[in-house]
Amino acid sequence: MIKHILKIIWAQRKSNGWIFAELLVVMGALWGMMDALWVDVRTYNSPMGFDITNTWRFKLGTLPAQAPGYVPDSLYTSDTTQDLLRLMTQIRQDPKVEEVCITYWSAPYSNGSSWGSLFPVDGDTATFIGKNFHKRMVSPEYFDMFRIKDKEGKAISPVVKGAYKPIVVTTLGEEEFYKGQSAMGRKISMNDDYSEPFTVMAVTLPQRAYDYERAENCAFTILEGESLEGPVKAFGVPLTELCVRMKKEMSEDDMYTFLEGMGERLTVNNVYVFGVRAISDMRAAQLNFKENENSKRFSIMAFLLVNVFFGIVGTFWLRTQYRRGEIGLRVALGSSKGQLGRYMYLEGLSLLVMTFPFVLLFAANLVYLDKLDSFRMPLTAGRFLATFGVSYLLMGGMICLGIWLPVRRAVRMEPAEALRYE
Amino acid sequence: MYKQYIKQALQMFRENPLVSSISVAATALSIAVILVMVLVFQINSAGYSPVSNRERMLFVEGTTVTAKVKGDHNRGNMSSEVVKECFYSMKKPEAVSAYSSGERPLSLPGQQRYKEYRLIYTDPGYWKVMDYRFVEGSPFTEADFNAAIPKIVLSEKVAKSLFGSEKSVGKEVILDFVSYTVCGVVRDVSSLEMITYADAWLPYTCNDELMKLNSDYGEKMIGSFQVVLLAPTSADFDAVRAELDQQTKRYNESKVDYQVNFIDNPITQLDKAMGSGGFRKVDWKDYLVDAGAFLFLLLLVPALNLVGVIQSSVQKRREETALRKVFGARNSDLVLQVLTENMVMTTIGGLIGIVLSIVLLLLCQSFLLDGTLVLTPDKLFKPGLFLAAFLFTFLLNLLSAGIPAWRTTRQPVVDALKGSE
Repeated sequence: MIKHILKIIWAQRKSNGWIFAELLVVMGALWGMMDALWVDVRTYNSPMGFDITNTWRFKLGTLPAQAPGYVPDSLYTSDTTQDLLRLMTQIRQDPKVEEVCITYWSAPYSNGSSWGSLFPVDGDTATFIGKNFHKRMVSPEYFDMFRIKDKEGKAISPVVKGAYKPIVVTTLGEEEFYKGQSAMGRKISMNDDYSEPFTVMAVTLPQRAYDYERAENCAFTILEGESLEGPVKAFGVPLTELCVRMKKEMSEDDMYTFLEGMGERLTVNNVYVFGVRAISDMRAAQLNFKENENSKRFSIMAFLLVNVFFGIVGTFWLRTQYRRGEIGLRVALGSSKGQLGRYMYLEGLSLLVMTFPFVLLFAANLVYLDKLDSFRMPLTAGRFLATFGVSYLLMGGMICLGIWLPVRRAVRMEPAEALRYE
Repeated sequence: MYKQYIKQALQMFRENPLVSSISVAATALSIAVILVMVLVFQINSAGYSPVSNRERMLFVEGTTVTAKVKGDHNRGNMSSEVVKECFYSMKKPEAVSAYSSGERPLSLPGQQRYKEYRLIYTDPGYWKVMDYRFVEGSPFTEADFNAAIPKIVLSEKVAKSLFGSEKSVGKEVILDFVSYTVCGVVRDVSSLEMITYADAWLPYTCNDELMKLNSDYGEKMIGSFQVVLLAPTSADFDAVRAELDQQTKRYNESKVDYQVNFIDNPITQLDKAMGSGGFRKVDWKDYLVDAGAFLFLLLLVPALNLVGVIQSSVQKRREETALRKVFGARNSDLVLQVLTENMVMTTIGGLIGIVLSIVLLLLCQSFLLDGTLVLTPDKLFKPGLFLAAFLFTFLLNLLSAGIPAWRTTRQPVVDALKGSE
C-alpha cells in the first residue's frame, strides 16, 4: 500500500514538489515557534513560589517643610526606623488589613535586582568558592504575607522572628551547597573569609522573580531590629517597599477610598503614604511585552497553517480533476468510497511525513548552533517529542481538512461519468 | 492585447472558481499580513498631534557618565546641569526640551487623594517641540519656568475627573503638598507615544529632587532627564549632532574626574521605529536583514502555494501556447501573457488585502501597537501603504508565476502540440 502511495506521489512529482517545499518551509518555521512557545508556556505554568493575591504596594515619602503637620528637626525625637515600624503597626491594626511587611528591592515584581555571593562555612569548599544569588531583604512577616512556606509546608515567619542572624535559602541553594544534605542549621557567610555567618533557619521551595524566567538562586535575610536600621538609614524612606495584604479582594477605587478613610494613620512624624499600586498590576505591566510577543507568534502560526490549508485544497482539487479517469476506474473496479478517500488522505499525510528527516536536520542544526532556549529548559527528549508531536498534529489536521473538500467531490462522482474521462 | 489577457484571466476564474478563489484568498491574506507590518511601522514613525514634527525630532534617551581615569561608568539619564550646559545653548535646533516623568497622586485642596497620575516635568521648549491641542488655557511660560512658579497643564480626562464639567483653568491642584494653578488643559494623548503620554505637565524647576545635583558621584552630571531636539529639517540632523558633539566636548573640559557622553544618541524616530533605544542602536542594515527575512517567509509560503496551481493551469493550456509559438509569438510575449493574466488575480488579491490589513490591524492592535491609538483614516491611508501593497503584490506575482511562465517557453513545440506530457 505504502509503495503504491509512493508511486502515486512520484508520478505527480511536479505538483507535489511545490506543495512539499511549502510543507517543509512551514514545518520548519512552525516547529521553531512551537519550541519557543513550549518553553514559555511550561515556564509560565511552573510555580512562582509565592502568592500575590490581594497584595498592594504602598508608596512612601517624607513630608516637605511646607506640608501641614511637618515636624521640624528641633521638635523631632524619634528616628525613621521607629516611624516606619509605627506606621506598619497603625496599618496592620485596621480590621481590613491582614499583614504588612517591609522590603528593599525584594517585593514581588518590583524589578529589584541586587545580587551578591554566598559562602557556606562548612560547605564543600573544594568544589567552589562563592555562589551568586539574588539578595532579598525582607521583614519577618514577608513569608506569611506572600504565602511562602518551607519545603515541608510549615510557616516561616514565626521561625525567623527574633532569631539571631537568620537566613532563608531555597531548595536550589540547598542542593548547590550541600548536595542532598539538609541545609537547616548550617552557617553561611556573605564574606569570602567566612566572617559574620548567618544561620539557615528555613528552606523554601524554588522562587521565581518573573513569570517567564526559570527559578533563580536566592536567599532572604531578615530585617528586624538592628538589621532593619542599617538599610533604612542607607536607602531612606522613598526606596522602602511597604507591602500590604488585604483580607478581601478590593478594586483600585475601593483601595483609594480605604486610604482616604485611614486619614491621619497614614502619617507618622514625617513619614507618610502618598500612593498605592496593586502588585498584580505591577505584574501585568511586566508581562505585557512578553504577552504581545506570544500573540504575534500565534498570529504567524495561524497565518502559516491557513496557507497550508489553501495550498492543500488547491493542489488536491486540481488533482481530483485530472485524475477523474483514475478515480472512475477505481470505483468501477470496486473501490469503496472510503477506500478512495483513504488514498487521498494517505497521499497528503505521506508528503507531510516525508518532511520529517529534513525538519529533524534543521532542528539538529539549531541545537548545534545553540539557537534553542536551553537556559530556561533543558533540551530533553520529552521536549522534542512534545514540540514535534504538536506541530505535526496541527499540520496533519490542516492537511486532512484541506483534502476533505476535494475528496468529498471526488467520491460523489458516478463511476460511469468518471470513466468517461478515461 | 492586455485586454485580451484580462479577459482570459477572468475566463479562467469562471472555469475553476474554487481554485481561483483560493489563489485570490491566499494572495489577499499574505498581502494583508505584510501590510499590517507596514502599517505598524508607518504608525510608529509617522507624525500626528502632538508629535506632528516627528520626522524632524532627535532624541537623547541615554546618557553615560564615565570616570576620566578609572573608567567606571554610570548609564542612565542626565542632570539639569547637563541639560543647561550642553543643550539649552545649542544654536542649530529650532527647539530643545528636557523632560522627566514620574507618578504621583494629584489632590484637591483639603482633600488628600491616592490615585497616581503620570506626570511629565519639563520646560517651555516642550510646547514648541510638541504640538498639543489646548482645549482650554495655554502652556506655562518661560517666566513661570525660570521663577519656578507652580503651574500645571492637565489632560482633558484628568481635568474632568478632578473638576467635572467646570472650567479648570485657574483652579488649584495639590501635588506633594504644593498648590499648583491649572494653566491649561490639553486633548488626551495616546499611550502609544511614551514621550508625550501623561496626565499632567509641569515645570521641572518646581521639583527640588530633579533640580538637585549629585556631587558625590559623577560630578553633578547624573540625573533623570532625557532630551528631545527639533531640527529645522531632517537634512540638518548631522549638523545638530556635530554641534552637540562640540558642546559636549567643551562641557567635559570643565570637568575634572568625569565626562559625559550620549553614545549613539541622538536617535531619530526612524531609528526608534526600527527598535533602537537610548543604549542600543539598531543598525538599519540589521533591521533590513531581519525584516527582509521575515517578509520573505511571508511571501514564500503563499508563493509556493500558487506556483503549483498556476503551473497546472499553464500546463492545461500548453497546446494554445504552442500554437501561438508556431505562429510566431516570441518567448517574451508568452512570459508576459502568463504574468499579466496572473497579475489580474494577484491584483484582486492585493486590493482585498488592503482592506483586510486594516481589519487585521484593528483586531490585533492591542498586541501590535504599544498602546491604543485612535486610528483615523489619515493615519492609515498614506501613499506608502498603497505603494507597499503594489510592490509586494508584484513581487508575489513574480515569485509565483515566474517559474511557470519561464517553463512555457522551454516546452518543445512539437511535444506540446501533440499534447504529450
